Amino acid sequence: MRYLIKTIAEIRRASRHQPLSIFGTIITILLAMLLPGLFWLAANNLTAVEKKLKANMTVDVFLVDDTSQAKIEKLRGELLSLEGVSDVIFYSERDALFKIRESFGQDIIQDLDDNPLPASFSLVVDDTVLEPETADSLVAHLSALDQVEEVVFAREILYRFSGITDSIKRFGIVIAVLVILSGIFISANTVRVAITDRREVVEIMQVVGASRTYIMTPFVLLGGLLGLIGTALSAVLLRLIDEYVSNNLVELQFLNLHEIIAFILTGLLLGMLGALLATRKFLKI
Amino acid sequence: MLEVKEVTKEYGDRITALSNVSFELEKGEMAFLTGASGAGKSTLLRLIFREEFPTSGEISLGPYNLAELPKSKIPDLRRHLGYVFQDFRLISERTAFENVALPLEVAGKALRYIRKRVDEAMKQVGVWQRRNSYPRQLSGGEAQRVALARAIANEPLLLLADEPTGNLDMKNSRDLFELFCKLNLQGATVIVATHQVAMASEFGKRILHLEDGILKQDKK
Repeated sequence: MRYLIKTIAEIRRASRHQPLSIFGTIITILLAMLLPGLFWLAANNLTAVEKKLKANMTVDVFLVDDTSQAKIEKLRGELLSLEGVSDVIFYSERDALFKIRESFGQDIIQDLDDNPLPASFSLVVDDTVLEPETADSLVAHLSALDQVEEVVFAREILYRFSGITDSIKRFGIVIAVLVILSGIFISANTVRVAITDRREVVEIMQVVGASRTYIMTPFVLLGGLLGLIGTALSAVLLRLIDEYVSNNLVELQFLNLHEIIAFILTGLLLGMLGALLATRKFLKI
Repeated sequence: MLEVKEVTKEYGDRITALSNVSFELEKGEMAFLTGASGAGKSTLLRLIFREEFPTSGEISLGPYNLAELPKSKIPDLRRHLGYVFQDFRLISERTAFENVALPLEVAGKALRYIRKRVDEAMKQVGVWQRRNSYPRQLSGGEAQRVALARAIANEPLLLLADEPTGNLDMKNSRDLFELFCKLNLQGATVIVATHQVAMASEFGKRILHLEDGILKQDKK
């Protein structure tokens, strides 16, 4: 309780004596934390899109013309028994024609006498099949099956998308580390000014036997509070950006509650760490 | 209670602030540590206060062997010492009462005990009526008495004063020395460093006289 009262007094004093420095620190932390926040938001949304892509990923197995019903049923059984295949949907030649009409309109095939489209199976696959090596071996296996004309597994788009998502995540981590380091430095600098301003009091405290913890606590909490306020404001700004983009460009999914708490706690910790370094250096511990 | 044994303090190769100083001080004893400026008085007090470390020799105070005292235990030692400075060193934004309460606050004492003990200490040195004044509202003599009240608030094993009369006129200086003697009569163990040799001699207390870092005289 006494620490809390001392901390509030120290913050009030620091705000009076160095208002620009306190304000500047909060704004700098706000802007600095915005960058990793944006990367986090982007990575989350890209991961969600990737998940959706994966869920809709199918392998199309086109059959040779005039495959008999018995062979189709036999093949269906074989396909269903394959590892990683969770469902099999059959499209007859008529179904294929219907799909084309639905997608492109009547005109595209109205001049043709015959239906040139083959019957096919659409395989719903799970994540295990999406690994490049497994996917290649599945395609090879399917291609070698009797009655199979062609196998189309449009997985490259997923790989490309995953590659972009991974790059953004990696880049975001690098940015986050840099921002956290600079946040620590900013907090350390502000607290160093605050503690230097209180040099005489700190010396008197040491003379009367104050422990290092007793002297350091208010300053460390001051740094933590600056980090907390800066990051909380950054989260608010991030939410506003998210809303703007969702309303005007593309629907975005915002960070969940746990992620917001983690984001703000990062600010609190970097503020405290910076303050800890500054006070330790000042007290020559 | 205080044992200073063959203590030498050197700064670099050329400056010897203290040379082979030895003496003992019993519990309840008082000594004036006299000598001209630069004789080594403040250095000796800083060593006892564990602000610095002797180049050689040993200092022990009650249960504390200062040579073996880890850094983390220094605050604990200082809670058992009272220190009065020439320039008072009061916190300007705290009242006299709050300044005196500081050592008790940092020691984690209960608020009720702090109030009682601060009142006692301030009455002991005669500044209780100035308890709500800020340091800038106090005269030099009053400020030094408040500093003295702060130094005795935690009932220290040893009270150290480094040129406490340096910023005071003759009357206030004499009054302050009398106050130290009164505290000593009440049981406090005291060392007062001063360059006012003649005035110190008037009080019939032990004189430890330093010259160029050497203890030239130990007159009981």
